[in-house]
Amino acid sequence: MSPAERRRWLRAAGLFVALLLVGAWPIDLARRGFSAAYAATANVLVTAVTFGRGGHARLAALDRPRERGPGEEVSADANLLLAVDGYEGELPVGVSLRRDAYLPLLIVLAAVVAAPLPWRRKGRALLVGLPAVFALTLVSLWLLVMWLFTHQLRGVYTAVPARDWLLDLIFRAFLLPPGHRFLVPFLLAAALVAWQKRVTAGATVGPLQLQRGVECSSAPEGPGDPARGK
Amino acid sequence: MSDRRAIELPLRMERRRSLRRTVLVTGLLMLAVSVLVYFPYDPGSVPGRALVRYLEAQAWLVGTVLGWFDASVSVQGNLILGRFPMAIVVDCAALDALAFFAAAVLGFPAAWRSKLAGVAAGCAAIITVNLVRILTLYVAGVHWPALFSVLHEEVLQVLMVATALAAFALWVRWTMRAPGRPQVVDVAG
Repeated sequence: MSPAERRRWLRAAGLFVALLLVGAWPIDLARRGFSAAYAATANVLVTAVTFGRGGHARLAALDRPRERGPGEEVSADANLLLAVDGYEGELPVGVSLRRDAYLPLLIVLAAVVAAPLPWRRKGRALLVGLPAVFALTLVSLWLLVMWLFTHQLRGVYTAVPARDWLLDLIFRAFLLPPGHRFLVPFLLAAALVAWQKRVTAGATVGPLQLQRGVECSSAPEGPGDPARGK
Repeated sequence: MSDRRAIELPLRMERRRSLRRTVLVTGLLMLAVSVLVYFPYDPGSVPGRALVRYLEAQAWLVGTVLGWFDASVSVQGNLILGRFPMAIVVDCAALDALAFFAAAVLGFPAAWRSKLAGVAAGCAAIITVNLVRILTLYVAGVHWPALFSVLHEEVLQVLMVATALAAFALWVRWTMRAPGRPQVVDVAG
């Protein structure tokens, strides 16, 4: 990597951190706004699904975030409300939409915006990346609801040991670890930037590259032919 | 121009194939390592007991360092007792960062000696950063309790992921610069 390219990437890293700090700064109004918007959007899909024998779920944003209580993983800014046909009431399960959805989206947004790419390429990367992260958050939510109905609110699903065991394994190995929420967006952002960088590089003719010590015996002879090396 | 493309295109295609293979192998390894690490082992099994010992060791190390500054700190198993009691559980052990790092290094095309050295050094670095993370959380819990949640659930989690990514990037740089590794040079100018 040339010094100029290194400087570009260092500047990009600095910009990424700055964007992340600004975007992640805990502002109550922003948190409530995002929770409400995300819950409304996600509910279009979540409420359309019936889980097992009459299980339903929906998201409800909280007016005030609730601190983590005993036995809880996170402080909650929304409730995942579970209901079963034929039973009164809804069981609330606290979730943190800021951790599970807002920060992953912010990581992809900040990384792509900060990357040293033309703006059109950034736009394309975001057009792919942001919906992909949103879809992943919905899949995580769907898996969480399935796990809750399978392992906590029994009776909604007929017990199938192999399926229940597999679901529990997926839940513990991929949903529960807190770092996965941030690792996947980081990796996705890196892949998007690499993809758009390759598209940008492919638009120009690259220099001829030879591996040291490898003879170019198939290259024809001729004066000034670069394949003849020194 | 066609002579240059005749040499350039096969190299690019080979590099692309190699990259796809690396990404696929690394992705599968990450899935496998995550499952191995987070499998719900029986507490009496060898991996189950090893995990408990690991968590207790983390608690003991953090408790020892905190004890130099805070005489009220004591450790019982995986519990750090003091002005801000904490339980060191699976989610506190940075297993997700360790799993990602190990899988990424093992999946990368490099000599096995480099990979093993990388896994050992990188995991040691990540565990050290995690211990500092737990220390920070205790201090925040005592002096700035309002910050504890955001540090615990967000800032320091992102820091652990960034540490694992940075460790992997540094290892790749180190292993690519190792003597005897073929260099790709630009002879066009």
